[in-house]
Amino acid sequence: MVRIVSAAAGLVLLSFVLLLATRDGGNGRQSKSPLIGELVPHVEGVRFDGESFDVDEVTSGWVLINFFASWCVPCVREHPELVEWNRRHRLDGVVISVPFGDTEKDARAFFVEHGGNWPVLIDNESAWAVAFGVLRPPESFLVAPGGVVVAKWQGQITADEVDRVVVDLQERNATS
Amino acid sequence: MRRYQRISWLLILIVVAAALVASVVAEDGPATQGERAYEIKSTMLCPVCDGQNVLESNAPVAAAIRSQVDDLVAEGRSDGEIRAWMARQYGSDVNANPPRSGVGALVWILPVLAGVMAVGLLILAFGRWRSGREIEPSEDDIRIVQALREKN
Repeated sequence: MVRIVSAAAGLVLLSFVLLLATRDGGNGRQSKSPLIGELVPHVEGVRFDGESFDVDEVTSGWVLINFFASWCVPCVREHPELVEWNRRHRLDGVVISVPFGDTEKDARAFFVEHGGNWPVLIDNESAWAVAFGVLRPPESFLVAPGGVVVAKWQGQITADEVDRVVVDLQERNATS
Repeated sequence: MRRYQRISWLLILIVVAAALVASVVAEDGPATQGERAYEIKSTMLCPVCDGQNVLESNAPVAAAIRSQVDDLVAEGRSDGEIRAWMARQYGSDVNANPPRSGVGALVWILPVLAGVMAVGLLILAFGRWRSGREIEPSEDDIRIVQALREKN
């Protein structure tokens, strides 16, 4: 009887060890996202200029969705790169900026100071941030023409880095 | 008589175990929207903090989750739907309480079963201990003891 109970307790302990050893680790800086390969979350919003915004209206081209905060130093550093990417893709793409963990007033001041003539959304209810699973700014998502999310970056990005993904996908589409 | 006693104890243990398992697995009753939202937020971990729930944390992502939980509760989403949505967005570790179904349910059930088994083993051990005390010494035992006493 005691042997059976000991064996059962041993099996339970072993299954716990196996369960803990084979599960995913804790969250850190993620480079993957459950959104990659999925259609961009359908979240509507309101732009700084008061116009309503629907992401489906712009998914005929490339869309670079950037979550930023005015207090975030990497966001300040990457902003000229977003300006550059927007310039390169003025005919086939658009940048969408979404303040995250920031006040609307400070986010507006950020754009006045650093420039950028693309839609900036008001996300007071954090619907965009949660729909994209944003952890901390800056985070960026690239959406291919057609509306599928193809890449996610955590941290500061460059226009070249984003374009490497764009070119890679364009080449893959050309050969297939 | 002793056999019936053991069966009675076993039945009591089974009933207690079943009641405890049912109490941890069963869903709570309905609550107000505010209570529901508070309960969800207090058992949802901030994904970028060390062990803080989203109620305690000042991180932007915690504020975002709080805001969305309020919205989703107001929309009439169930607790399960909200937890599943947040787990999809931020990983299953965002839920401080393990799920009550699937493998995660073992975390709730196993401690109860372990407790019941421990009590059962104690009862068995006490039973043996008590029955051991009732063993009468054999004639040989008595003879050996008497011989030793006479020797001394």
